[in-house]
Amino acid sequence: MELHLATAASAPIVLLVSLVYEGVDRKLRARMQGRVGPPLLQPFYDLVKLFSKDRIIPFTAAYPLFNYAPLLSASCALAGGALVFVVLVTGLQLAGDLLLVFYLLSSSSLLAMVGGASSGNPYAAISLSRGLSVLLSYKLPMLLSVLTAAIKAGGTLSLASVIALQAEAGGGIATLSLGGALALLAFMLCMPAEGEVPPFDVTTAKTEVVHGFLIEYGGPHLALVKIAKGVSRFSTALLAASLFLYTPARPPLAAMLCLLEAMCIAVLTITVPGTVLGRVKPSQVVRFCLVAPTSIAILSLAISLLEAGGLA
Amino acid sequence: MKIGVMLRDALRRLLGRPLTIGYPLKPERPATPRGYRGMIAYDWETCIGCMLCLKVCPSGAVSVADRRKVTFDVGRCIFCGQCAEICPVGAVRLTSEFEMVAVDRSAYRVGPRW
Repeated sequence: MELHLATAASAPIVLLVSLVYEGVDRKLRARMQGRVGPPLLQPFYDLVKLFSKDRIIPFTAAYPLFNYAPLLSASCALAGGALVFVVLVTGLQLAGDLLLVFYLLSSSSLLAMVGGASSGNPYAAISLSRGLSVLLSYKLPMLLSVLTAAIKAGGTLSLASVIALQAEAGGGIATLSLGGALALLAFMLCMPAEGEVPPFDVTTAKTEVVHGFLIEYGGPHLALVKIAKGVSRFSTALLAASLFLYTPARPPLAAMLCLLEAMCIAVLTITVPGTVLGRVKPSQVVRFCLVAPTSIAILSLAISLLEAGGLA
Repeated sequence: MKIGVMLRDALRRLLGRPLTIGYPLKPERPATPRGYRGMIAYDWETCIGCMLCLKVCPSGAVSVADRRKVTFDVGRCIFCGQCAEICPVGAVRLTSEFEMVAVDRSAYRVGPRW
């Protein structure tokens, strides 16, 4: 019961921080392109505008799915992000919460895509098929690198014990061991695919599939999908920060540090590649994700297993 | 390597001054080029009522007003500047004003003010 309340209470915080990150992202991206860029609070203005618009539902849409998928997607993302935040602040032990967070964040992107594809628009359908193959290819290395952190923490799948281990060891997993550093690298290589930014933005590519699954969404639906996307981007970065780069400090300070690190990770893996890189083909995304990050993640897993064996 | 070049350029831009300017514009407005054709200014006291501007206007933005003066409907204007060019007494001018947004349509009817 307490967990539910805490998660519900921290969802707005996670939303707020994600939107601030989005503002920072847009500002930095603009400055790297030589533009002044929108004000930092532009994502908030955008949401207010979108929520005040009418809902439009196409004739060809499968109504319930099209209508409710954005809401579910946003709530999944918010729940996932809030869960990471709650564990970070309270240190609550929760068996298997790493898998739960992973599941929630994956469902969020999946639901947004399925909702968009149920509009009946052929571009959205193409986008769904691209999105699914991309999702499957980057989630594997991501999960493997999360598993590395779990093995480091003694084979538990609870975020709190990974954090406790780092607090005890006096530094992040990535800074203390080679396996951890490699796992973080694999995780970060997958981030552009998770955030749907170039070079891996094949699902929502404007010039190829006209925004893909977002094509028929507008108004409150689009606002919810935007929330889902922004929050799951930031939550993934927050997960990486708390799994691999946790800095031991007093509880509120440690959480603040983690948020800051997540911000830096997101800028490095989403803002910068999104600005300087061009888009690759869908098959190249799949090939890249299944080769580079996956092999690095497997390597880090093997190293961690060896290290764990050595310790035992 | 191309990624390196792009990164270097992005970093240079990030640290340098942006090329665009913020909007809404600050008091110092950007300079418009010479001969810029913006908002119409009409000096109705100088106007002699020859109606040449009315004849040359390709979009029919000029109409006759009282006492042989004219009114310009900037909403129809295509900013070709032919009225300013043909005016024998220089009563019509295209200024460098480029921000033409108003809530009230009448703000963009330029004519004599008796």
